[in-house]
Amino acid sequence: MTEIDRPTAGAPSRTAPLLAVDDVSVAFGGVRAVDHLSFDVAPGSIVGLIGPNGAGKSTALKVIGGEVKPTSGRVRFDGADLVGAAPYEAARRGLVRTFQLGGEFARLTVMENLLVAVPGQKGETLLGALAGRRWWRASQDAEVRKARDILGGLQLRDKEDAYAGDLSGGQRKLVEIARALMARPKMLLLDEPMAGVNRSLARRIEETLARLRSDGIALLLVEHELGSVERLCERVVVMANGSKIAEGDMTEVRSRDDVLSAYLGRRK
Amino acid sequence: MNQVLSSLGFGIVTASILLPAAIGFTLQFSATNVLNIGFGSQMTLAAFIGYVCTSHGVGLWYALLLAGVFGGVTSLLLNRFLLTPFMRRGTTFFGMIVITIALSLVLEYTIEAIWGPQSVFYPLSTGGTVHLGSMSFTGEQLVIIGIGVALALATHALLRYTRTGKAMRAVAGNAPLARASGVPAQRIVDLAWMLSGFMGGAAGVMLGISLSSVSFTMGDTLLVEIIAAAVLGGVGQVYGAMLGSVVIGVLLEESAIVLSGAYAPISAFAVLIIVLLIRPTGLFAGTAKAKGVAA
Amino acid sequence: MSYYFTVMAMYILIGIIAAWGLNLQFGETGVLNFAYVLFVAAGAYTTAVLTLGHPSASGTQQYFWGAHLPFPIPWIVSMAVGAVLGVAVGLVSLRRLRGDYQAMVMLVVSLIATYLVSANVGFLNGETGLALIPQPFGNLHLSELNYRWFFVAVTAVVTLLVFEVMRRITGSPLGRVLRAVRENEAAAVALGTNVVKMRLLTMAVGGAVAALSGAIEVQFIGAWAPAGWTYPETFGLFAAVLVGGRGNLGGVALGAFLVQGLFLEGTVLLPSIGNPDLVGAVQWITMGVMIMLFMWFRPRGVLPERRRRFTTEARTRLPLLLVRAQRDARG
Repeated sequence: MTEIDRPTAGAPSRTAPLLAVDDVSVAFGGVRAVDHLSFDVAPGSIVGLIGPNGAGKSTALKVIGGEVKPTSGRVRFDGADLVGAAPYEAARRGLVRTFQLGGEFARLTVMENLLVAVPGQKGETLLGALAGRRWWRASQDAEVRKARDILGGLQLRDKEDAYAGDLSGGQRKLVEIARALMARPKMLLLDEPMAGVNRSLARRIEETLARLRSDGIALLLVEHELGSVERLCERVVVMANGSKIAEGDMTEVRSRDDVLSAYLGRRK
Repeated sequence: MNQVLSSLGFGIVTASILLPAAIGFTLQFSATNVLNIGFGSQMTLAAFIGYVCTSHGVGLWYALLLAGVFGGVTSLLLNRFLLTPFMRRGTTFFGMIVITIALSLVLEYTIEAIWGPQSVFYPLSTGGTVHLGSMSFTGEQLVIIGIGVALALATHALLRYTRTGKAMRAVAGNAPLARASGVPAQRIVDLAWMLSGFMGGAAGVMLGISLSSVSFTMGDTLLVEIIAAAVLGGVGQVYGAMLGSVVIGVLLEESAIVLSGAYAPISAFAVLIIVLLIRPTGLFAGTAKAKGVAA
Repeated sequence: MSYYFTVMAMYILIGIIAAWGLNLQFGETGVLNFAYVLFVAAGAYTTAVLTLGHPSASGTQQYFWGAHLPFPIPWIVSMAVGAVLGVAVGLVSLRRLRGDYQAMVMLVVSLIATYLVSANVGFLNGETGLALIPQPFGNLHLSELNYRWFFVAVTAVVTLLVFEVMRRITGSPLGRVLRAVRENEAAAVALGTNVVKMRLLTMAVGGAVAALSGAIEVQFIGAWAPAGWTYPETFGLFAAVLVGGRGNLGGVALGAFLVQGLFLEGTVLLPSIGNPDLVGAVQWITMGVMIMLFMWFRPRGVLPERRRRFTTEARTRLPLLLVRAQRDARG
């Protein structure tokens, strides 16, 4: 593994958090999938959200992304309330999520997948489209060049014209990350970006994520691959049975008995 | 008041016909997650088979039974040899509904090609009527009510008290999980489609008896009412479908007092729209949410 | 014979226009508008009442309101009605429901609308429908046949205009967003797309195009009744889109040509078999079977959606052939 600059964990940053999850609960017909969950993510930081299967991580991620409305509690992003807003608002404010599986636009090419994400493009309105190519061509060209840069960085440049549905699982995850970057995010919500991905691609994804951090993009990472979490995240939140059971840096969390019994102890 | 009560009588008859139809529609959906638009046409086809039976001297109620069996078998075959292969190929929900509509077209116009566009008539006895307060029923209507209620109760008993019924509920809840825990899912799905076809076929003949005639477009109006009942009850919920049938059946006939007769079917539509706007998951929300039909 | 060709040409052009509108909704955005023919009917009825004049002037037929407006105002108003109706139907059926459920609700809307118009004689003359609808371009004083060919020419120009609008929409960033909605709603939302707005937009534009096709049709044939817009008509258009190739404007036009051809030629070839109802029935059965066969053997149609490649400004200045050659060389 190449050296990844892992910042030392310290006291949570004193600046206002970018994302604030505040006492969020989600109940599905009597079952509490998420139970009074609270944590913050500071601008430009990487936080891991870990826990055993069924701990409620994915549900928590869906609440933050706006896909699921919580039964109670608040989610604030960049000063705005997300719970009351339409699901697509999160992305427009700079909070973009990726999917564990099947997040690609299968019958769109890789380039098209990336271009869809560009917010407020010229030619994306009915009038803009009717105005014709001349109206939006230049701005699209700029985005195409940017997309090629991003794809180049992920060594996907030659896949530009392939349908996203024809790529391997790992390549699709890279496309999703590339696509999220086109959306000009302040923060990414990543749902198991390394799951089911071969080692060399997983490493590429990990390097990419580390680079994003240095670009000032905050990350919330749900991941089972604890090695990656440890290398990337300055702070982890541990969930079990819907609640947060621990929070801190990985070494600190690892040493706690309740975490071990709830999660780490049961793995390998 | 009298008018309300006598309409209630008709309402009960209509509800008794909708009961097996909506249960059948719901059973299919919960077993395979396919919205079968062809269901109305399948019912109509069975009703015509019932007509063929009666015109060959078969008694009315035996004809109903035969039409039910015919409905069950065709339903099973359609699912096995038309819908399942498409699903195995990975045809999407969108694709499947296009297929079932195409199926509906084929069935409906095959009926027209064979029996023509005019209505055909069931031979009904001209027996007396039974009075219950200001409601009056013909003998046939009473039998229809009896059959409708009996089919609903039988469904309840099957789902609640038999192993097969439990397996059906398991498959409806989560087919891969049920399969993994040893439920013979394919057989259960076959059974569900056969039962639903039987229910639909019986309901088709019941409607034919109630109207005394059947025509090839009968399935279209019926489908609207079935869908309204199913959506009102909560998509995929058998008990919801039962409740929905009763509400829609009674409403259809009662609204005929307020609206002029020709507009009565619109009340079913109005209910459908209101439910969709206010509570798209229906009264029993479980399945609709679980299957991602409505949030 | 020439007379027959004008009818043929008209039906094919009208079919192509209608199929393009449906393609925008179904082929591009993935909205299964099973009430599509309702929008064709809305356009036809709108143009009918806007040309027939005041109801009292027409002794034999009843309708709720009328005016006597010159071409092209009725067509334009028809498009507006189609667009508004599209948004209204979309608002009811496109909310919070899974795609196939939305489709089912639209089918119900279509069934009920036919029912309502048939039952209510005072509204649009019920089941009998409206007839004697005035034709445009009367002041040109053309001979019967020349008039028909002139009408065909006007329709051809409209068809080209619709093509250009469709081409601009589908080729633009907007078209890309619509296809993203079709491919993966959740992902589109996660990228900030207001999916409901996009679907309503296609309901409005598609509705307007459908209404335009109805408006042209009603003025060409001069009559319009509920029997002409029952729900299977929608599937004739779906068949055209599916057979031709959803998402490919040329393919959809080809599909409309084939399907309309089947309907017109079918009636010519089949009448010896039996009663007129049988011919119609056999056509619909063929349509149903054809849809199923295509869904099985060629789900993307005869001419599938094209793969869209991107060239930036500098490279487009090269002759197109050269760009293609380069691309082929790269494999």
